[in-house]
Amino acid sequence: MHIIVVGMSHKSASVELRERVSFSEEALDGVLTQLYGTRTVLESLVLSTCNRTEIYALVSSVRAGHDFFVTLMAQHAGCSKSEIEQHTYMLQGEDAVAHAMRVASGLDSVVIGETQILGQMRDAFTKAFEVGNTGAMFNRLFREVLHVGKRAQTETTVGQHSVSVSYAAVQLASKVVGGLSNKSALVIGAGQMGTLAIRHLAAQGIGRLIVANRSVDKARNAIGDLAEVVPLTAIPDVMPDVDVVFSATGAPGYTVSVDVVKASLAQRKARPVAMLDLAVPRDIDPAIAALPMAYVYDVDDLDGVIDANLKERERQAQAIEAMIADGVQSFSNWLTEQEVVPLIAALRSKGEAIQREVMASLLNKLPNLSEREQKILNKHTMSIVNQLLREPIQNVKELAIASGDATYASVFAKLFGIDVAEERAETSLSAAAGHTVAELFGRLLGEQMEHKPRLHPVLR
Amino acid sequence: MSAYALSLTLLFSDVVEPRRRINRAAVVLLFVAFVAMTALLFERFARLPVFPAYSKSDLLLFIAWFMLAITLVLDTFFQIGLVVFFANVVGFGLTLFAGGEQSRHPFPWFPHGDLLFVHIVMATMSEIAFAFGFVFALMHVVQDRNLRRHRFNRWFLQLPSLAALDRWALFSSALGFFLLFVAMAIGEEWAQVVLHHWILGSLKTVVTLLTWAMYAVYLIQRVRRQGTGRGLMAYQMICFVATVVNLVAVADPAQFPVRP
Repeated sequence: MHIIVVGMSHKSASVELRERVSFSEEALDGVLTQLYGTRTVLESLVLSTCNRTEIYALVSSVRAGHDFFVTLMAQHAGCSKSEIEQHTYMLQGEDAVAHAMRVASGLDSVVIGETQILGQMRDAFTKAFEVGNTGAMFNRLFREVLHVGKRAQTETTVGQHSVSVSYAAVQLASKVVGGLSNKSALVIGAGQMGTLAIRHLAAQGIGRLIVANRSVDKARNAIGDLAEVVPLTAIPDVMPDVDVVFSATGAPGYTVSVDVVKASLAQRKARPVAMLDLAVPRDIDPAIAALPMAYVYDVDDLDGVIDANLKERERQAQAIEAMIADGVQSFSNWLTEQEVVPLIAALRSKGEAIQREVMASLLNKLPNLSEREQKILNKHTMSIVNQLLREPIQNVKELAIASGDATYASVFAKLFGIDVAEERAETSLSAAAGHTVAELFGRLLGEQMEHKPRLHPVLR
Repeated sequence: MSAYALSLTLLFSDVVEPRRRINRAAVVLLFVAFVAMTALLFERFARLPVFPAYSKSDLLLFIAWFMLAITLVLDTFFQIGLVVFFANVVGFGLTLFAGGEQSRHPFPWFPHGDLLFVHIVMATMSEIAFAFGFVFALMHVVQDRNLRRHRFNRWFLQLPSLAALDRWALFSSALGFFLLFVAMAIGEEWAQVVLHHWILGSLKTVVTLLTWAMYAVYLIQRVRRQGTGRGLMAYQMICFVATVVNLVAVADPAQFPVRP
């Protein structure tokens, strides 16, 4: 059995191809039904968003599975298999699981850390679960995937550090004046950069937006009714009322002088003003920075903020990668435990059977025992069995998780003469060729683990 | 103290280089420090012959404990981030101070203890509010420095905006100002009832009135928006230093002569 993912995303395919491959709600039902009826595919889930189409599956053969999914996508998109193959990726085992977790965390999104993808992943899982395409393994896997995605959202701030210039400018202004909802902003210049700033400020819900431009009519045409428009000569009049100034004109010389700001600050009564100069050459006189309540920044400063956001995002991404590693290990442990559980159950029932036989023999040989004495004997013989098995059971669980496979479990089964999954034990024994029975027995009885836990074979 | 110090070191390390384990360890250690301080306070208060006979050391410790408790509770529900660090730096400083102020001036006898109790509670709450005001002013100074010097580091990203810090500092100081006024009024009333005269002329009252007047100046300046943000914050920090000096260096009411 192999866990694989075959898909395409914004990183591997153009939007034209992605929209052709993308599955609509109705098409998705058909695809899931098709996957359900395929012998190669044991469990499956399809994630289809505007930026990615991915098929996660548990398959009996990687090659057959890959070929089947590529064919499926090609038929759906109405293009050749080779074209699809060129723009798809295939990951298997640990890489596939980690990829699912990265996707759910928003690390693989166009906007890093966006949160919508987690909901889309949850919907995809719910859909696959409802139509019966997921089984025990994928139910567990995607529970782990969604858990990691949720942790990434709640425990990190990866989505809060955009690296766009407009975001950095608004972030910088907000650090001075606080939230923008009840603030006033003045944008000087209605060119390309100015219009971008106007739209961004409007999107941030700025309380009042004023645009100063050389040509009032041109500005009105460019921005519509997003802001009040005034001529450049009105800047001294509006300056005392504004908390944030964005300037992006192409004019030579300073559009905002020290005197204008000094006069406005006197009227503002010690309320700070954030001034962001997006123009080159600069519009805002740098000498204004020396005024007590004025905070002036230029494009180089915005680069500094973007750089800080980038570093922060990297830090947060590292934290998420650690969560992903934990998630993969947790899933691996669960897989291993599933192999050990029947063995433990068999061992327990064997122990109980022996205890019952011993008790029966004792009762034959000591027929005059009272009911109370029988109860005491029963309790104590059961206690012997439990105490004898407790540590080996605990150790076999830990060793199986540490080794990532059922090697120790199979040796354990042999040692105790249990016939659980004979065929599995045989394959596992060959993997244990490097270990002597004495060494393994020693470990089973409680020696310290010397190496890091390994992943289950399904994930290797 | 060791847990407290180590926790603050870890919190600092978490700001510089965030790691979840470090952060968790810091919060756990902060909780250990809280439990230890709670036990210490209980032990100290249990030894008092009557409640108001606390020492300056007890009071400082109580203020630090209260700050620690508030930050732990707030951080649990609202993730207040760097406020935890800054508030506990101040709290730790007060705890250290409390360690060096072990002298006790227990009252042998207190009439009208209930009035005195209310006075003490109000005064303590005002000092706690001033301590938080100081924390926000300190954070404002750090963030203002970042913004002035164009230092866009983790501190810049983590610290709240100047406007928010200014608002919080104003609220804390106004609250402390009001509580201190009530505490002084009740203190005077107690003196009138117990000592049969006003104590406006006592050194403690004069210095307390002075610190109260200093805060009044800050509040007037801030409300009328006179002076710069930086200057006002620095002044507010000086006000808190004056409060601490008043708390530890000026003779407390325990030394007033009480006539049975």
